[in-house]
Amino acid sequence: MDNNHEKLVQVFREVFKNDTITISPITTAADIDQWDSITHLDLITATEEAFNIEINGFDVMGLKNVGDLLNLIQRKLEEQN
Amino acid sequence: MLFNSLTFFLFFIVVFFSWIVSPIRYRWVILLAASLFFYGWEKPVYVILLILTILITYYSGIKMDLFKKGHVKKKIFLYLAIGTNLGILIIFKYLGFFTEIISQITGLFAFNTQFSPLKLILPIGISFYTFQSIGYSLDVYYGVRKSEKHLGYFALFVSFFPQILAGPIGRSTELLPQFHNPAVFSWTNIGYGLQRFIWGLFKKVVIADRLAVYVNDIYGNIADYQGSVLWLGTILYAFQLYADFSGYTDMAIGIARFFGYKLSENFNFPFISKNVTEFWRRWHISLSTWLRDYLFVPLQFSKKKWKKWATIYALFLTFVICGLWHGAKFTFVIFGVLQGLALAYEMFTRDQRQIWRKKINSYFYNFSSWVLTFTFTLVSFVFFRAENTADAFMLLQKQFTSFYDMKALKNFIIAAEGSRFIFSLILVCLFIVLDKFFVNTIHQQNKNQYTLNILSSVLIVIILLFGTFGKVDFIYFQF
Repeated sequence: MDNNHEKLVQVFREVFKNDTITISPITTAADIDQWDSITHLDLITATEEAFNIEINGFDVMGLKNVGDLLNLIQRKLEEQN
Repeated sequence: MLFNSLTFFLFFIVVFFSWIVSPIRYRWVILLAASLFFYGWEKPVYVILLILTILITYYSGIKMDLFKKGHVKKKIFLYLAIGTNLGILIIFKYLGFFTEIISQITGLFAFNTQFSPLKLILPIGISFYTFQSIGYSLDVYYGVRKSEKHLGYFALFVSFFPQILAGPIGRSTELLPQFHNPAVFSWTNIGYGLQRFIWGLFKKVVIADRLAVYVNDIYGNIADYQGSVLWLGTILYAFQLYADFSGYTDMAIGIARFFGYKLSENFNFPFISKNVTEFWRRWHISLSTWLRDYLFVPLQFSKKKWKKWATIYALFLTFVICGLWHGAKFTFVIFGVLQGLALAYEMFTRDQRQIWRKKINSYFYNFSSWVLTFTFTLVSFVFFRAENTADAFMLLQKQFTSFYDMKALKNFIIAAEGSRFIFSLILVCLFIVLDKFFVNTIHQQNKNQYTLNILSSVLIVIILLFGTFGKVDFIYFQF
């Protein structure tokens, strides 16, 4: 789980081009300057590549914060194994 | 029934006192009966449509819960619910528009068919409650929430009278849980509700309806006025529209709060936006977030492989639909396309603008961004207000050719009874200055309450002295 968190921090830093971004499970789009519905797709595609998973439109509905995203990643990784 | 009418005032008194004296467990019955009565006031027959929406959306929700994610039957019930709501919306709002296009095309090819455009009377609030119902169905389908089992609460969710005519479009996750915890009588709620209502009433009857007179005159005689006057009309219209719709919203939020319910906010000082993306986060928020969650994101993810172009595709389709949502007219399509273009431009120049921002003096950069955004908003509002595209283009053409004609502007002001016009402008300035203060203060209870109470009393006096009552419909009632 911690590993996923570290990896996701890197994804965020790359997508939003900001090396100082830190995230926690309660971080939401409102906390990160550039994170909106336009950049959300970039974030999700970058996450897919980093974790080698596939996230569809169904999955992103109801994602409220980073914690939800981490749970989704965990679930997708488990489904693959 | 207009919130700013005597009929509504009497209706509200009766409903509120019946609500207070009835047992807490059955208060929803009072509110539901009141809501159906309120909705049927002008045209009782349209309550049937509302009940149809309620029953089919409710039934589909319960059925959807029975099947797993991705099951074909789950999808069938989603389509049933969305199909019913969209069907009602299309038949009553867009059929006339489509038949008109068809009749124009057949006319173009000189087919000798007598095809007369179909015109039905638009049921008020239809765009709002059908969207709210569709949002609920999608929430259940996507598993964001379980279906609502209590038919009474569900019916209230769709028909709740403070919001049914023009929003704010409620979310199932925010509003339904509130109906499950029946709120009790509280003086704090009444205080908040009253202050918010007064502020909305001031915006509507003192600002919006006063500006409407000038705006209607200018937009009704575009050919007769010079560009400078047309600019004035366009600027006044922006404030009229904002005061009208946000005033309605304030009243809706205030009324709901009397009963202890919190509706979502719809505006966050839209005219201070420094780019169009920001504007849509501040303007008609309940619609823009609805479109984002239930239309934009699904469209964007359905074409995920297109990368950046998926976003462009979703943006355009979303904003054309956003335009059309406001009305079945080409002017609204153009309004939507303009917004889509601006947002696409902002998306492509996002990084570049960050660089400019660092290079240029920040005050100058912010100020010019604001000027550009506000000018764009004004131009797009021309399509929002104009009767037809020909009018809109004539107005824009004049705006960009004879904008310097100060003599024409002076003549207009003199003809509009100079002192009366200047007084209206002073009231608009008062509105702009108080807007932020009032809403911010009202949210931090206890702080500055004293000032707020005095201000509310002053506003009541202003409303009684300078308001116009029950004459002008809310702009958003037509959507």
